[in-house]
Amino acid sequence: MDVKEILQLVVIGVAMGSAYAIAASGLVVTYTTSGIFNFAHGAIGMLSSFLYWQLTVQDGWPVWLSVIVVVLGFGPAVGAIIEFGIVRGLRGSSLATRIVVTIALMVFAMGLATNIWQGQSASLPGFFPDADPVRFLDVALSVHQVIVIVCALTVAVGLRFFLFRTRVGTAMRAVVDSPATASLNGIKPDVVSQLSWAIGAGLAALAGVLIGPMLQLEAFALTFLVINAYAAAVVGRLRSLPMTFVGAVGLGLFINLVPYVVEHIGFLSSALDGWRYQPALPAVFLFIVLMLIKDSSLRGARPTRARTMRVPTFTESVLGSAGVIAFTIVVAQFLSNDTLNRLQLGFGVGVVGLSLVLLTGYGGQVSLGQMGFAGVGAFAMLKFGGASGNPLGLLAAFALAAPVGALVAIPALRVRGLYLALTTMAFAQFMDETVFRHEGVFGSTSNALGRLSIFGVSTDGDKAYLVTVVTVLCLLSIGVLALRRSRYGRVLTGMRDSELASATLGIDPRAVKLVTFALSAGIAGVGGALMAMANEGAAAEQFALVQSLPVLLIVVVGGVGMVTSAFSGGLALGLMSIVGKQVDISNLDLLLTGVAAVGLSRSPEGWGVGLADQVTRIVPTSRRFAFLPGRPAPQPEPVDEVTPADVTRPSGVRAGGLV
Amino acid sequence: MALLEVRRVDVRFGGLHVLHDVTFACEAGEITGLIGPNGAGKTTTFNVISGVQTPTEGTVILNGEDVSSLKPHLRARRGIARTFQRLEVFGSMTARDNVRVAAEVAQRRRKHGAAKGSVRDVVNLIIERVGLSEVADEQSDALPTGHLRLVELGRALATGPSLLLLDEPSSGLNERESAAFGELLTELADEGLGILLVEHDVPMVMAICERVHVLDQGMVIASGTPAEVQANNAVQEAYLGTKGAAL
Repeated sequence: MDVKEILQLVVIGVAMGSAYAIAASGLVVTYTTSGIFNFAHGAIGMLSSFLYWQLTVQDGWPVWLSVIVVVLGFGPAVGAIIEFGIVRGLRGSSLATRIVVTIALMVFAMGLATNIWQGQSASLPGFFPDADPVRFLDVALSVHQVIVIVCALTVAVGLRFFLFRTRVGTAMRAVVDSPATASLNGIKPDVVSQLSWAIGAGLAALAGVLIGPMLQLEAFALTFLVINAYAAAVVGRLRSLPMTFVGAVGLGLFINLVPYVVEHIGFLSSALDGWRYQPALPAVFLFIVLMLIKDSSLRGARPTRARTMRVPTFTESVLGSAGVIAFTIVVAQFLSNDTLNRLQLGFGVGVVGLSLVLLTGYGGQVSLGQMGFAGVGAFAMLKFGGASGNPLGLLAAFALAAPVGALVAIPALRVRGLYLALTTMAFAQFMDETVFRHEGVFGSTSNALGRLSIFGVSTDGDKAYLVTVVTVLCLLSIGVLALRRSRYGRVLTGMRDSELASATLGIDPRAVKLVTFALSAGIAGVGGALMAMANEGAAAEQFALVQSLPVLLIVVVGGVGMVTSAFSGGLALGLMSIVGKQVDISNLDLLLTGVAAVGLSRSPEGWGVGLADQVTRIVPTSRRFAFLPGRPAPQPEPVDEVTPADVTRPSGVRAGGLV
Repeated sequence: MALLEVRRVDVRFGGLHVLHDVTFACEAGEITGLIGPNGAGKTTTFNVISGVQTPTEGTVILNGEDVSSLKPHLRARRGIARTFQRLEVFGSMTARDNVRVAAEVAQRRRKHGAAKGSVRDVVNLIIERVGLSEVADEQSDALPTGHLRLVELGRALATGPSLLLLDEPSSGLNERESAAFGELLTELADEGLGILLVEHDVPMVMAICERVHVLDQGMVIASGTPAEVQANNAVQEAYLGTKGAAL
């Protein structure tokens, strides 16, 4: 044990934690005033890093001017524009919608960065790179690190002063407590909300400029640094700025000290040998913090503006499926192998999307980690289906992914709403960084995975395999719809409407949620197996966290309460990938999701619901295409909805705002 | 043995003392009234009995079994059903499906139990009995408050309870509906159901309850027959501030 070495790690941890603290406090400021958890927060920081690099390194601007332009100009402007263009349209929308809109922005920003700064593997110099390091407690600190710590302290003190000592800051806290009362007192909640987004995004930009030099400039990695900010913000329960700072520094220490501890404890280092656990440490920290939150109160009914769709009958779902399969068989004859392959992958992801129709659409639980389960399914397919394409592999995919889902759900279901979404995201990050990249899982080189062979009939050809994927999606949809119409489906709907009332009828809310989570994970596992077979080999990249996020997006856009969204989402992904190849824009799909974000803020229930309305109007009920839902009742329907007050209320009677 | 015993229950929210040493009992086949001014702790008492609120101290005993440590769904399975003052109807379902969910859950639990009708018969019977036949197939979000209270009553009855907790069931009902509702409760009690009734309609409470407990500022300040309670000075002071006409 070397004291100096530990001290060095502690100081570096504090410096890193300071940077996270700046990012996390921006996240808290926007969340408390608008109720929207900005998943794109890290993406704003990432864009700021790149812009700062472009200005200083590429264009030779002076550092001070670049800092002003990026931190005081670019960041706040982006925040204000997002608030005005998107956030305002989301009042009263469901939790799933509010989550996916900023996820769409995040994905869009990654697409944008990879296009503008394509292939640039740059490193960003810190502030005063030539200055001598500062010595503190026998530890050498770069001037940049000192500046980061000073900035964090300034932000902490400045925010405190701003919120408690200025008129605008007081108005901001008033809006957090009660927008209605605040507006009666002459405060304009819209203006305050916009200001808070500008401040929040400005802090993200500052964090980006400060963190950029500590790491390699890489769009995805920088964006997902935001998980560190989530973790810190959750320590402050998304409202307390001092606790957020504590959390950030704690995380900085955790990330830096755990590897040291592991290295010096024999059995730990041998147990973790071969596992890339270090990149997953922020996710592990987030998971631990989320598990310390006690949130066991039962949720009551709450109205939102989502609507109830008619559930198709068994006959309708079977006829509709037959139609879809027949259509696929015909169309497949005219498509190239490359196009077919992209559609196979699209509909494979569609199956993963279907798992969210059950979990989120019917059950009201939001998961951002479905690709984690899909990867488990692919692993099972690899082991049980292998090169021969044994259809039992699909069963194995379900059978392995479902218990993994249950295993994740046992701790995860202690929290709900946004916290559950974050927990599942942490899970996906862990699977992505640590499990799937382990050599023993998918292997280091490409593994041979044969496509399904059913009763001796191989689906090896691209046409046959596309039809197979669509058929599996249809069969699972018929099953999900049957579940929805069953007693279990009614219990699930009741739970979504009011957990509290369900419990007083003798329904065990946790058991129902657990079963739903497991079923959903199982379906995602089948989707993962199909995706892997489309590529004739499973790879970690297919099931990365960044692939998980758009899944929720595509089903929410299509209307998460309808199985049709799994089809439209799968088709959309396939088409985007085809078009992206034609026009030669890398990551076109990522860019297009930005459009979806704006669209969703105009139509928060998803475009599919509006489309279904139109179809119902034109086609009489008796002749309706089977999968399309009926005319929705015009009443609001309570769905799982979390407001800032709801997430952060400790279950007692205390209310209050940003602290 | 009383059907329900609430023993020495205390509830504190931080510095706020919501219930203070609350003790009372309910008998099977009787309607017990729980009245008191706003904020007296009536709904909190219901939450403690149904397991939604964990008391700081005290016990809840159902049919001689201490259910204090049980979660809400386990108490429901032992025969406690309730309605909510702030409605908790399954808004996206029809009134009939609200009742059906409860009946299905209850039937499944009693799989090996005594004779039972089909779920459909049970649901139809209850719908008719609480007076929802005409609106049973409408989505419940579209129904007026008075009907929603009946949906909650029907749903609670469908669980086959031995104790029914009703939280302000008659608010939103008109006078005629209120009277019919009172009759229905009396019939249910005559069939052996124990009912604990929180109600603002004091004349109705006095008319149909066998016993009445009065809560004020978290304390039981009086218990007795309606006549005894009406004559109690402390009740009139607490409830009305002055000697009023309502009692």
